[in-house]
Amino acid sequence: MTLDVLDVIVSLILLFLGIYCFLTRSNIIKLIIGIQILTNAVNLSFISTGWTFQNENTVQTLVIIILLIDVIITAVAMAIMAVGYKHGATLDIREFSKLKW
Amino acid sequence: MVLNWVLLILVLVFTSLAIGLQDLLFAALSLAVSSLFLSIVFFLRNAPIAGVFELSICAGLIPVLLIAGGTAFREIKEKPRVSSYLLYIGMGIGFLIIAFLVIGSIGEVFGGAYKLSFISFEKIGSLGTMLWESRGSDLLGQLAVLWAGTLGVLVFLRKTKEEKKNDS
Repeated sequence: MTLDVLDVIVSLILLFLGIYCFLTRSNIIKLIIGIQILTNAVNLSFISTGWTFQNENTVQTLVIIILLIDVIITAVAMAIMAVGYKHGATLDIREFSKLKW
Repeated sequence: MVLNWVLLILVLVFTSLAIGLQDLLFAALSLAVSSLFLSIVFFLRNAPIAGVFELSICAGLIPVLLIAGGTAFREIKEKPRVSSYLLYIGMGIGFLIIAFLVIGSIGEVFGGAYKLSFISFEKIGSLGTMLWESRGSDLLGQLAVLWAGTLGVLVFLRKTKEEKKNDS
């Protein structure tokens, strides 16, 4: 029983697009978008695995948990964004180094 | 099969747009459209509840938060950042290595030389049973993450002593 290769290739490309976004962008909103893309890649691979092994319930549970944690990450990132903007009036992550202790 | 291809290509196109567009409003909207197509893929893979969650959270809630954040802080355009060529070369090499390993492990590309042993799933009734009755210590971990997230937001958004004085 093998996975759908197309799904795996697309999730790999999504994974690398997310990493690319993380490494090349400096705006914090773009970084949150990068996290979303990484999450989408992982979710697609999970759903594809569940489809292949005919056990969708397990992977749906995992995907729901991942999405829940994803929302928490976004909320915390938005809070960091608010603090950074308050101190530096910018959303550029390079300016956030001024926030360190 | 054709629908599958079209949907996955659309997911990739809109994801690329979300990364490439400098206008943050359109980038967030592209991410929403990409998640919308991904949720249709989930529905086709017999995972409707995951599809609904993907649709409501990744295509609904998070783009709204991003757009609200971007407009509230009046930073709609992204400032470009110069990256070195070494980064792209390293990423390309990393992509090739992982792609060969993954595709070789799941397919018959290398004669199954790198075949991974997948976790054997045990079928457990319905999704409700799976979510509420078949989980153990991971619930504690999830609660810890929720608690840490709530605390994180509270700590980041608390008022300093000076701000409290200014308010009063």
